[in-house]
Amino acid sequence: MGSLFAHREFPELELSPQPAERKVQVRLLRNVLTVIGRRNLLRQPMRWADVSRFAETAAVVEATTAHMDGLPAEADFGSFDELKARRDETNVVRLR
Amino acid sequence: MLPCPSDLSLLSLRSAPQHLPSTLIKAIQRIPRARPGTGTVDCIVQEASFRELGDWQRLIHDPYIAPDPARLDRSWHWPRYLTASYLLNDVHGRLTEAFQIMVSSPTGRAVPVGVAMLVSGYPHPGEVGEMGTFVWFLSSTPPAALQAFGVTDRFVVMPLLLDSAVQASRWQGLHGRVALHADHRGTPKQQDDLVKRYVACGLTQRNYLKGTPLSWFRKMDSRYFTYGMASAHACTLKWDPLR
Repeated sequence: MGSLFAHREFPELELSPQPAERKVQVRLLRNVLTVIGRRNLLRQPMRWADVSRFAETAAVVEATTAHMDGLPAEADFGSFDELKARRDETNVVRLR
Repeated sequence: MLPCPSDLSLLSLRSAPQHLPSTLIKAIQRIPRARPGTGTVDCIVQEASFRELGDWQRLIHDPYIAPDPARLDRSWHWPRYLTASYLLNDVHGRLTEAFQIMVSSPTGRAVPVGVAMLVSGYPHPGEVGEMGTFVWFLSSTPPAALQAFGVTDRFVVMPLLLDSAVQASRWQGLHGRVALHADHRGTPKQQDDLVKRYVACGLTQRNYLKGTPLSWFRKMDSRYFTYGMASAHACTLKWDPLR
């Protein structure tokens, strides 16, 4: 089955080949579209002041938690000298 | 006839104002201690993403900021705000960045003294047609958290988080234009203190813009603070010896 979002530039947006899982994924995307679409039709796109409430929605909370669970949890913030050695010409330690 | 791409690049070169190349725009490498006259210490400005903000949330925010009723930022959740900002801003072509300023503990471990989340590409309040960098959130490490990581000094943090925001604006070609909106939460005294601290950083309160359109859909209130090109220059010039 081909994917609605199959695109080599956005591989993470590939939908599941499992029909039940795919249905759930599409439902979530539809919900996001509904929220953003409604707010735009009302001419009330989300503002900075809305962010804290938006960030507490189950979708954002659980997606963030799932993403964070895949990252290493450190006991501290690492070696100062190792960070210092990674500064670029603008004096910033970049992540890319 | 439309100019060919090479003509366009020449046109843009000829019409562009003269500014420093972005590689010459530098972040600070030293941070002053809070008590005047007590000198500066080595510091690092570091980009932060989910991993770094997760560490901040778990090691600094949750144990030291969330329980403190005096902190206006006690309910914040940085990783979730990063998710929200990516979702809300990427589709508008706005760039979300976060930066931490780190110092060293006596044992050589990095310790953050403050963190800021910035979004570049917003209309700049008070300058029609110009874009700027909006400071979405900024926060400093409480003294108790610094002590827990072995750092007994206190530092000048907010002005240097704002300095980093000005430099980030310049890296994006936005000429140092920076805006922020003062948190409406807290007691009147807490809000007054916040306003005083922003003004002390050289930010201009745009209260005369109250009611004027910020975009097609929004009007400004009196709680916007900005650096324009000139005030950004004045702000960062002050900290140039630290770069």
